[in-house]
Amino acid sequence: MPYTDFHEEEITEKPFDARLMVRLLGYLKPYIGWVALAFALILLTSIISQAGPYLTKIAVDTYILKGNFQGLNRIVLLFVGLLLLQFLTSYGERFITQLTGQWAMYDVRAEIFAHLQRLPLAFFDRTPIGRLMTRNTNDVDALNELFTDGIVASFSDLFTVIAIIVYMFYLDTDLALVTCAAVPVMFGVTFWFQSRMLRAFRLARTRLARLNAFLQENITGMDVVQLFNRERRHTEQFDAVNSRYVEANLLSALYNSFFYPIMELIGAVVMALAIWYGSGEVVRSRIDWGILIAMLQYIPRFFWPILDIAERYAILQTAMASSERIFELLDTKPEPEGGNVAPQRATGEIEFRNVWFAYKGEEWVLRDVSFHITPGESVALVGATGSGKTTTISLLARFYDIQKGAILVDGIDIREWNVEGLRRRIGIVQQDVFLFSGNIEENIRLGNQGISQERVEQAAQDVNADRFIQRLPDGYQHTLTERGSTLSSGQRQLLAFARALAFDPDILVLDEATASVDTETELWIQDAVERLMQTRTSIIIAHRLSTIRNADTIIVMHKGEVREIGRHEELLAKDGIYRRLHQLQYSDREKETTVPTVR
Amino acid sequence: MSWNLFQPFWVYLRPYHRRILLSLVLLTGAQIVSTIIPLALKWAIDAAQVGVEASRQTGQTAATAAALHDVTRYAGLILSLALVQMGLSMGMRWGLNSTARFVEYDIRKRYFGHLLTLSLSYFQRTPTGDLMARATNDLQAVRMFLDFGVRMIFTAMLAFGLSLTVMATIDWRLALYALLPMPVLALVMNRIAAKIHHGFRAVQEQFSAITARVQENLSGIRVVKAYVQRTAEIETFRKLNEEYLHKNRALIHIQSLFFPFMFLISGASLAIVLWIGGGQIIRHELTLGEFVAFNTYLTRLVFPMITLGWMIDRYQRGTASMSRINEVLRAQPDIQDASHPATPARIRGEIEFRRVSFAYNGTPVLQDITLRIPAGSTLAVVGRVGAGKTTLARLIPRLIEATQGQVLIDGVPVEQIALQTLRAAIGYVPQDTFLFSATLRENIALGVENAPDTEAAWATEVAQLSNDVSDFPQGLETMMGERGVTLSGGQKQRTALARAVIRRPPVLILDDAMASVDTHTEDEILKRLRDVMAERTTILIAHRVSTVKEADQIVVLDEGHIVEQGTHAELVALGGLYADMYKQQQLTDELSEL
Repeated sequence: MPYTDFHEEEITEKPFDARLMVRLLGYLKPYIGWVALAFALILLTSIISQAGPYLTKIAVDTYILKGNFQGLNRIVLLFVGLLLLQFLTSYGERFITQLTGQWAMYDVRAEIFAHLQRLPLAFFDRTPIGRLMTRNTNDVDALNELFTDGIVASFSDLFTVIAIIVYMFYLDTDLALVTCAAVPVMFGVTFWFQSRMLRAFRLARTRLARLNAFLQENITGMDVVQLFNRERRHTEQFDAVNSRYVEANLLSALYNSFFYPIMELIGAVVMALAIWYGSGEVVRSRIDWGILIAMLQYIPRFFWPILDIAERYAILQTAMASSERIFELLDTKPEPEGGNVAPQRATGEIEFRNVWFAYKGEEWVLRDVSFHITPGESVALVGATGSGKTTTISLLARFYDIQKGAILVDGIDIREWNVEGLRRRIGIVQQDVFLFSGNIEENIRLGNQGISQERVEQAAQDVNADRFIQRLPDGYQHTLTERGSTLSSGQRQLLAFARALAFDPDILVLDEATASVDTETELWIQDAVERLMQTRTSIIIAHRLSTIRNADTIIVMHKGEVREIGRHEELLAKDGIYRRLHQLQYSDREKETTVPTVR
Repeated sequence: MSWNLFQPFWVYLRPYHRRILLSLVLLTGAQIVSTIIPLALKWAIDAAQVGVEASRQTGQTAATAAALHDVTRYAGLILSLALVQMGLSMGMRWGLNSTARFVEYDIRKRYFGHLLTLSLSYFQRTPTGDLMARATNDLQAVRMFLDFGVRMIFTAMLAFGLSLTVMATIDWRLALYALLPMPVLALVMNRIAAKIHHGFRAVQEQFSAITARVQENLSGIRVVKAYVQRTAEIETFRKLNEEYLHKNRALIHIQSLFFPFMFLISGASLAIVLWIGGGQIIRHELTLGEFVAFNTYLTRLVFPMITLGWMIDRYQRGTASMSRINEVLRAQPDIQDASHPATPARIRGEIEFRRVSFAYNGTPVLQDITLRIPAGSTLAVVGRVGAGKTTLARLIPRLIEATQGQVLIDGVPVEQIALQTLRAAIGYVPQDTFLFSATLRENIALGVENAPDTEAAWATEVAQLSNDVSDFPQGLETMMGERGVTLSGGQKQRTALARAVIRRPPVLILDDAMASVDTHTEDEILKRLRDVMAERTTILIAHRVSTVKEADQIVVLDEGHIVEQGTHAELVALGGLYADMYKQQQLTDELSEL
């Protein structure tokens, strides 16, 4: 299904651009042999398909008018033979052309997808998914259309027109000249009308976009419309945009109503001219009947190829705009691959050394953050919303590059690490657990075939996820519907823990979910987190008091800075930020959830 | 197809019935004329042949000249017929095309007009995308049927019938032979079309699978990156992409047959005419002119045959879409004016909830709320997310209606007051600000007619928006939204606030209206609002204690019930939910100052 967003008014057309075209044609290079074959078949088809009237001429002049039955039978057989041949060539031509188009689109789609996988997170932060979907779907289709209905069909039309003209002139030059006199007129008329129709069509399209945007806006904001008694006003406004849309369409309808009848008239004029001049020639015995009859059959055949021109041009323009957007995406710089450091295992030592970071410009999210984590140490990151905790862990996995300072893992700057090598050593559990469609096992293993089923189950057991999985129908093979929306949030978290553990990372990064879960699951989660913390270096954005208490070190972040470091009791005694945070969040734990959380 | 093609659309077509009838008459005329043209061709050729024979046999130049004279006359006839046909055809096309556009306009107008009368609950249960799809895709399908669908169906029927008649008159046996391949054509083409349809659906399904996969991948890109799943993801995509290629290949296989097959079969008809007709010419049973005319009529038969399936499809889509549109148009507005609504000249703003309950889809949201808000006083409502605060506010302007109990303004139940009057008396700032793609001025003056500049200035000033306005490129005339500037959350809320106060309403409802505004600005706004609020009944839904503590009465909602009620001092002393909230607030304030 095409992706529709009534607000996004993208440029949908672009004039011909040779540079883009060359790059586009590059996608056909691997299939050049097939393309050549397709063109040969198109040529052949044009020659064969336009042979019919010529054969009629021979039949009439050589056999029918001479009373030769055998000859007529032979020519009819030849006619049928050519029909069959034409069937084969035109089928082959269409099949090959479209298939080649599909091959090329397969490549384009694969390239876009592969490229998307390598783009930095910052790119995804600023680009709506819908827009990227359009690139991979509608825009790619526009390219396919360009190839099959644009380029190839144009050549087919061109060959057809040329073949007709050649046959006509071969039959009789004078009569052909009389008939072909109409061709430039047809072109002229077509051009005149089609360019105007195209303009009217564009105008209508822009106005339709307005109209739909207005409609969508009003549906979305209907309560405001009604609350502020805007009904009458908005009816008027809608009527205005609706009328403007109709006007544009009526213009287009008007051109349309004139164009086709005029083209029909031209055809009839040519027909009348041919019959008038041709009959005279026949009567004067300058030409034979067959020539005139063949000419009369050729005349209507001119039409379609000429009528198509404008449509081909419109396709070309659409494809130009699409290809420009696709190339723009493909030219977006991928995230760096990093250096060569990619050890099998890491000790898990982490150091943030005067790290400064901003998502954009000088709006610092982290200011001069420094801390050191020894191998095997467990650290709880604590702070109010917006204090920079999530950013800190994103930076560790090099999802973003820092502006100042350095982040070291195993004493090596992460920029010297191979990015994928670094991430393989880190297991990240996000706050909103993302589950893919598929079954439980696939969601723990992801695409890593190296993780055996035993390891998947072991990991699930280690984080207490095993119990609920066993209870699901089909157990580990249970297929998740709608990305696991049927699981409770606690179960989703346990699943994410299992996933992280199955990958056997040296550093575990955990963004604890704040969503409340039932008491039983809560106990399982606490237990799992505790165990995860013991086995390896771990950084946890902690919301649970138990997690914080169990951590070797607590790092308190406030407004993008590290403000306090220490153990639970030390920090409580300090009467600083930690103490207040603690009071705010845990002072009345027994009441479970209190009135609104901190903003 | 029902016998009356237009039946499902008749309501919309009726105003244009003369126009449609005339267009159809013109269409019939055009088809008759274009059926005569090949006949004129035949006459011309036959006349010329008489001349040829005459000159060959007798060498009479007089006969030749007469033949040429006849040919010229017939050529002239063709020309005049063509001109008539052009005229008729222009009129017909314009008639049908424009009618379809007018009907489209009418339906759209009615659709929007109807939406305006539907209540909030309708929009809550019907996704915007669905309503949009009906106004776009479905409407287009209706329009397409009404212009080319109708034109094609009538043209095809007439062209087929007329051509066949003339062919049969010329030589019914030859006509029969020439028609032999036609049933094959109709049958096979429709089968191919059905297969294409089927293959196309398979391709579409695979396409949806790809789309879903890409969307999932992009939504989960963090996980993909964190777990280094690039290669595995590419592999999964490759499989789907390959499957898509295969499905497409199957479709192309069939699709590529369509036109070649059409040419083959229609070519077979031509071959039959050439063979049998040629023999007849030799035996002098058929004239050359008849032969040429026959060929021309044959090509006119092919088109209706191959479009048969297409026309049925168009018709079905058109009617299906029409009924989808009608579904919306038939939805009954559940909140309407009473039969004799009250239209009090002045509303003082005394609000009373009398044992009000509200349930959404059977789930109770508000239960047994009884509350009196004296005119000119301020009520603050606090409580957790989902406690029913917004529902309470929405009951007053009748965006929703109480399941039980009554909401009264100045002692009159709200459902007895004219909606227009009721809503005009209320300045409502909803939780989610909605700005229209219009200028800032239009967005602010939404609920007042011709607001003078001084009013707009006053409203922006109260909402603390004046400074922002002076920063905008065109001040109050700056366009908002998609085609203009994007406002920050706080600016949006302040615009909504200005929109409410400019109405100078007796009742002001602020539903968490300053959530995105920083504390300092909020204080400033509250300071200015106090003057405004002094003379109005105000309902203030908020999270911050600082916002609500000066209200005349504060109500704490929990799970649809009023659990605490009183002034700030009273509630703090009570030591309940409100007191907790107050304590937390103090801590947060302290923290932000560290």
